[in-house]
Amino acid sequence: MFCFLFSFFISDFNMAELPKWREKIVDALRERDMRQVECFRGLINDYNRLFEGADSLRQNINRTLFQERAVGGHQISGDAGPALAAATEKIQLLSLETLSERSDAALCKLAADILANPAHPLYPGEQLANVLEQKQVHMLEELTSLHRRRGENAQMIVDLNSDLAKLRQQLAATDQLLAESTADCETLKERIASLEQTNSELNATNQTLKDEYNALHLIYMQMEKNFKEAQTERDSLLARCLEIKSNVAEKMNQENEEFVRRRQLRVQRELEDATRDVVVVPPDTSRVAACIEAALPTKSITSFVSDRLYPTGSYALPAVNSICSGIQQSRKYRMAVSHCSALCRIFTVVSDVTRDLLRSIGGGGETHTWLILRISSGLRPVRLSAEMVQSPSGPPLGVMTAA
Amino acid sequence: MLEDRQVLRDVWDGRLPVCFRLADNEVHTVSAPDPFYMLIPRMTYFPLVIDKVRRHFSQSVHPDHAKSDVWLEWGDMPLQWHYPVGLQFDLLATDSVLPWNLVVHFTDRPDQCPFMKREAMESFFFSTVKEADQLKHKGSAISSLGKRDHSQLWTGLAFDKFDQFWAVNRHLMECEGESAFRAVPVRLYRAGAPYVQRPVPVRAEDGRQNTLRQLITQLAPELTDDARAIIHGIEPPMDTPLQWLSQHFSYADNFLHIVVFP
Repeated sequence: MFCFLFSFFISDFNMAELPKWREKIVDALRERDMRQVECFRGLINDYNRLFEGADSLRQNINRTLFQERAVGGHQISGDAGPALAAATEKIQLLSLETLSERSDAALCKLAADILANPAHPLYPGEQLANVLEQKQVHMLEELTSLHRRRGENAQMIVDLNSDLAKLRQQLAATDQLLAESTADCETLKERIASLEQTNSELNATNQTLKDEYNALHLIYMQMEKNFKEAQTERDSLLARCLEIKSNVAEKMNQENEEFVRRRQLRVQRELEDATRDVVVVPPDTSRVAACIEAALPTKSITSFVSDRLYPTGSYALPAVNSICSGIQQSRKYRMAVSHCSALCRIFTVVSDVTRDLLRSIGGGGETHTWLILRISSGLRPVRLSAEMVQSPSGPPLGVMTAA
Repeated sequence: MLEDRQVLRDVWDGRLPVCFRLADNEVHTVSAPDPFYMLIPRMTYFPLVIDKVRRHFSQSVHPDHAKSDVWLEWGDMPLQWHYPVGLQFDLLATDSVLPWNLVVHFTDRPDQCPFMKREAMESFFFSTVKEADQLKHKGSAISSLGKRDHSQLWTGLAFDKFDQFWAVNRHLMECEGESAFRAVPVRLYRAGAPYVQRPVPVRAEDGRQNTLRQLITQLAPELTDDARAIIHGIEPPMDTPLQWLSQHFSYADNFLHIVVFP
């Protein structure tokens, strides 16, 4: 690699002429390195080395402490006296950060030297044994107190553990409560929203109804006013109508009275006129006889004369009775009785006819008129015919024949 | 020629003593962590050295932030990840007292310095190298390099291996056939302003070699003769030829990053 780099540099530059600017640049670079790099290089390297050393020591301490804590946690109930003592010792050792492995080795070496050489001033003797004994007693006392403290701590750990469990339980309950409350809160919020919506809808409906009510009320007021006006008008019209009607009725009454009065006057006058005329009633002896012959299918067998004939032609039932009694003797008589009502009607007709006939004939006096009635039997309709006949004892009379 | 190699070596070996401290408001332990000192090569980039710093401080911040992206601050200014370390020092703190005290933050990263991972830094580095080669050789030199050369170039920079880096980089610095580059890839920086980049020919129209003075006159005509131009922490003489300067004083990305002070 160096050889091709070298060739590159040779091709690039001629060593024979070294320009001034290049010298200046090289000097400037050197000066820069002296100023910016060299004075910091050693410092930073040393710092980093020291930092790494301190860091590794710190990690060792942490690891050991962690291990001891773990061991202590596992052996709370057991007899962990030696482990505890060892841990304390180790912590004390480690707290002296300067005590490195190298110094440990040096101490070991020193101790070996002392032990190997009885003439050494630090060789263990009587005095040293006493000191060590005292130290041992002291250490035992310390150990006892540490045991006691350890027991207390263990008890405290148990208590605290139970407290912790309780608190955890409480926490879980509280969490659950919180979750439920949150869910409830959500539900209630939704419900509030829906209710608010309903409320707003109802409000809108209410408003609409109110508006409608107001409008209808206005219309109603207007109509009531109209109605009142109409009623007053009706009342006035009714009053006028009644007045007019009463007027009309009064007028009618007046006219009616006038009419009645006039008629009475006329009747009265007629009556007076009638009473003024002298009516000549023929004497009893001048009898007008009417002969009615009932011609039955065989032949007419009976002729009969009625008693009287009233001048105004108002002869009715007594005459018929007389007729009926006149034909009582024969078989045809019963037939005549059964047809009595028909006969009455016939009679009425006949009497009118007779009267007219008599009037047209102009007969009077001793004339006897016979009325011959022929009634055909069976169910055929009755046909009447009248003919003038001469009574056997007097002048002819109109004869009615029923064919 | 050893002298010339010596210049390259001196430029390569330029270091900056940097002291990283964790921002006071992000300390999450009882006591503030110890500062972290490093000698950082001027050529390299912060993303290549920041992992150690992060590892050092990640124990001392809030556990939620220990894995978030860090950012560096000097004198209330966030540092850019994609500028070489030496350039940022020359631009921001050239006359300040060393070591360079940087504050490390794990939170509240400002938007103007998005964090660059190592891979992003690598691709950015190669894009700059290609740009420089386009200016120098119309891209012919970089296209002749293989994938293995690329990785050698990058690892040489990342692991501060001078020989490994220059074994590849010399291909980029050679002048094939001609005696000079087509243009010198150079960027001119001034404090508080974006940099100026324009291709500057190696030779003037009259055939003489352009020097640093002509370069500054072309790129920043408003500057007076008293202006200082700083590259790699020194002020090269104004009559230094551009060709030589580009070959020896370029940063790893083949660009001349010159900081000027009026």
